[in-house]
Amino acid sequence: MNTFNYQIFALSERCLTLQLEPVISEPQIRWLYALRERILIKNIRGVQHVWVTFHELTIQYDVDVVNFERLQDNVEVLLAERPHDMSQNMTVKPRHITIPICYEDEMAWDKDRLVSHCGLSFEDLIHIHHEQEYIFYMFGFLPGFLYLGGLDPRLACPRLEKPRQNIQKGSVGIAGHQTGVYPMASPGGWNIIGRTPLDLFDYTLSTAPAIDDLMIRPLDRIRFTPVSRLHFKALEGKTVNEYQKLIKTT
Amino acid sequence: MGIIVKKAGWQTMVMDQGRKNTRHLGVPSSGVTDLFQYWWANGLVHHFDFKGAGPAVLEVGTGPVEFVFDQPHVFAMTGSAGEYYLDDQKIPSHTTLHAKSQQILRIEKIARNGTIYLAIRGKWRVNRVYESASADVLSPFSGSAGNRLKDQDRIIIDQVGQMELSTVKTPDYLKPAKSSGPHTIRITAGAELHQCDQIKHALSEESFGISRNSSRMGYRLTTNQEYNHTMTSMVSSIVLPGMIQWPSGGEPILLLPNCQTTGGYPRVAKIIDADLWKLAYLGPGDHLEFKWTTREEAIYLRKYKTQQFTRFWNKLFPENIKNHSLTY
Repeated sequence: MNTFNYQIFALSERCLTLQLEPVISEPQIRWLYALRERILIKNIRGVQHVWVTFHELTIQYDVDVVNFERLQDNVEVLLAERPHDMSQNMTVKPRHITIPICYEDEMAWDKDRLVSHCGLSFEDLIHIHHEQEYIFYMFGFLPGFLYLGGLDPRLACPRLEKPRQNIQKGSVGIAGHQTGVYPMASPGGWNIIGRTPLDLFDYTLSTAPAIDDLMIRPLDRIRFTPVSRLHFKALEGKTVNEYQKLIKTT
Repeated sequence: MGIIVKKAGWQTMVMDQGRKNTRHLGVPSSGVTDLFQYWWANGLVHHFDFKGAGPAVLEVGTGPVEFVFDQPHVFAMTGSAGEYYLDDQKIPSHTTLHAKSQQILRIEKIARNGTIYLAIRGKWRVNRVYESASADVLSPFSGSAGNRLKDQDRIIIDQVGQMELSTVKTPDYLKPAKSSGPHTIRITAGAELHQCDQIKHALSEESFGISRNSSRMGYRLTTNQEYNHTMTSMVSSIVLPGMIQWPSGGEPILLLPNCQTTGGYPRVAKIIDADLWKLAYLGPGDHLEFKWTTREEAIYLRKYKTQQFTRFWNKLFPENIKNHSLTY
């Protein structure tokens, strides 16, 4: 695997950002997460927080302990050490997660728009949607909002021109070539294709979960499985973890 | 022990220094906007431990609000100018005050677009989510008894030992001053500024209004004319409080502590850390002017402001504060 062209710049007085090409790609984000892991393992003095978005890795640091130039040097050294095989050596391995989704009319708010834009029947849309395996790229936009990669290009559809004021919790949306899941009710402009009954994120913990403790971790593989309205009701309020156990035992 | 809310107002929330290191989960930092006034309020009631999210305070945005103390309590208010009463007695802010049981604290008026920080000595029994009690009205993270405080809410505050009855006062020059004209805020270049030609000039030449269509996530800024650039779409990227995003042909958005963690508009500028506190005292109807500065100067000003704060703090209070315990 190749390394990527990158640039490093100061995002703020106390944040260093490493930026790759502005594209959404699995190899690129895998490389960024691998770099994140290596930075954390190295335990670089002054580093307070490291996080990844589609094409960027940002390090927040304590300016009283380390400055931008020294931190940049540290990162460059890490990159020079083993630039090629970083992604293969990550300690956190992706898991396979199944998420139930109900495509019934009252949950697929943008059925007509998707059908008309994609030029497919809704049955075909559903089939393509749940046959695909997705990769969880990152949280963003909202606490616990799942940005998923791997949408079949036939399902790409532009955002709504006028965002809705209240998207339901669990709604699965499509915006352009991205797909994502709303973990909570929120305003939003994504095309809603269905809804999951599961709780995807814990908003009640007194301390923030470590990456290893998340119900869905970056780079996990996600599959949607269609469920009926009745099954949706029965699963409402179950967590992702509870559902994985449930499907293992049945 | 603690307070009962008689009149909550509509912008009264439990706050602290906010959530640290949660942006990878999409969780905003939230927390107070003016950390300095938050620290002074706590110092005045002898809260000296600022590790993690620090002690909880009440952030009050509009008056009138009323609280009843159900035990004797030591308290202090900092931030904007206002009109305050303990029962019918007018009381000052920026000083240590002592309330008897059943006395009523009234914050009658607050300067326009102002913010008051009310610290009450003791251990607040409030819900802490992801280590912080800071309310976030736009997400499921909340402070005490819901997002904003409501009438009849109760906050239990356990006593933590006697504080001597001496009264400490912070000097006038430590109070946040607000000028009547446009407010100048210093900024450094954002990650996409070089791709947005007209914007650099516009940021230093325009005067910006704060639109009514603003929230705790961000101020929407109005301009005298429309500015376009070629960067009409971009991949969702990291954003931070204090950043200015500017969609082509649209209104710039100045992000506040409750802002989301990723954004899809060009990041054209970032307010320097040393000026972030000013955002606590601005709001709809106010006007801003921006002044470009360099990262080196921003770092210098940040250090200078923190050192100046530490020096004053150590003069006033028996327990010294060290730079490293401040999360600013």
